[in-house]
Amino acid sequence: MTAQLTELVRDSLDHLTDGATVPAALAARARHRVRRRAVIRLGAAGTAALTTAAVLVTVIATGSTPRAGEPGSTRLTAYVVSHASRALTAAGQSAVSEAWLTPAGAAGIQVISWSGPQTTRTEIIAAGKLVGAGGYVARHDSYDFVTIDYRNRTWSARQLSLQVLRTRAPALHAADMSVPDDYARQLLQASPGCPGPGPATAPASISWTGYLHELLACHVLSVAGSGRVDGIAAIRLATSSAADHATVSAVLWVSRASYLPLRLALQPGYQIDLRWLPATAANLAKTRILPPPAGFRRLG
Amino acid sequence: MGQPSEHSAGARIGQLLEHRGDQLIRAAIALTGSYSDGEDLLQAAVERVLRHPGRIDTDIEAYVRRTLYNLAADGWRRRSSWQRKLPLLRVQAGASEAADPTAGVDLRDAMVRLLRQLPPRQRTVIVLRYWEQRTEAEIAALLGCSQAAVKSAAFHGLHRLRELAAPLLAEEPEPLSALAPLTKDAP
Repeated sequence: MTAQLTELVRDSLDHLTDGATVPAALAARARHRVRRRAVIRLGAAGTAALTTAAVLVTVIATGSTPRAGEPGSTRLTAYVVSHASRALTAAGQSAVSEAWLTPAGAAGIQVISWSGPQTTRTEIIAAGKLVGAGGYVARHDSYDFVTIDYRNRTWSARQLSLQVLRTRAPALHAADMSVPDDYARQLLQASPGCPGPGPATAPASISWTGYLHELLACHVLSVAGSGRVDGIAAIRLATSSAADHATVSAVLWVSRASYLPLRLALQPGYQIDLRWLPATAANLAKTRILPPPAGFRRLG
Repeated sequence: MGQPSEHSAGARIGQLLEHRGDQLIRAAIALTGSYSDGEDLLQAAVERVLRHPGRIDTDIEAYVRRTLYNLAADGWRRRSSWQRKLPLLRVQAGASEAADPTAGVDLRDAMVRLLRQLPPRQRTVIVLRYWEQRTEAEIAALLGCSQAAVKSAAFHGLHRLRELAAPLLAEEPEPLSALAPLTKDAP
């Protein structure tokens, strides 16, 4: 029986790999990415040398991050936030983000979004089955949305302006959860220094990457410790006392090495785990929504 | 003799991929279970090699392969618990469909999906042991671990695979004890 199983493994992998060829551009892509990372490292090392020293003194010598209100904490927060913003900007241009959104109180539901510079695709999985998919393509001042409902075998396509999206009218289909929703916006709108209600001016805010940019830029978060997220050393940023009156609180974990966000937890609401993938052709393809299956009825 | 620069390492990598790239991408696909993930894994391995050109020894293919296998065995992309569980749910759904003889059973596709459910190290060992036909000693050297660890990973990987494949093969999994003798006689 074991021989039969191993033979099946061998045959399956032979079948899977049969005829596969290496992409011609793979080596060039790898060289380009290595050079780019080297340039970023050099730039970061040059401009931030003094601040790094201050942070190292703070974090290493004391063995912990300064408490909120201490002189060092403001400087450390400014350092971490500026590096996280810079890392987000770079990643927004050259990486694909993969966001795993786990809604609170909705056991068995998982939302996964892949976002590239112009496109986002989202899948909703309930009890292990794909029940919905959605996505959008960014145009000049609007977004082309497509949503697919696998349970009812229907789909729809709409063009929505950024203003409509920000004011949340009409309500978006569940598959549009790739867009920051009311919980996320509530935090920004209730916090001093953050964009208030009303039409948006920053097109980036339709995406989670753009939302994180806004969240970092309005100084609502401050360094609140460190830890590990899925084994990665991370810095914990949490909503500061200035935002205490907001009904939503947030904890953002950023990588200690790259400063890219790893996890955002909104209370109440959900948790988003983020991965940053290289912008390979295969990863960029994940950001594009697939056409609805044949036989699905179009609603709008 | 000076250390090789990234430029010369890049040229060597280019030559390697030109001549042996298809074999490498097939190994990466087997390790990951899909073409797109295999491509990403191979690119990640090449990038890692390029970042440390001084570590390249005389046999660059062996070095790239070692990097490839170790990235795969270490999980390569750190996954959240949800990411680990989701394929499980998907495959379980797929497995029940595959059991339906009218659905056009494809055992090979199902087996690839089942392989992806194994922990990265077990999957890597299974691929090296039963697809690349490497000995336990070779695998231990490639992954930088003991032969006992390789033997254990192969044993538990096969047993888990047998459990997962039971619905497809329409039989009960054998107990662990039945597999043990077969995992001890590695060539």
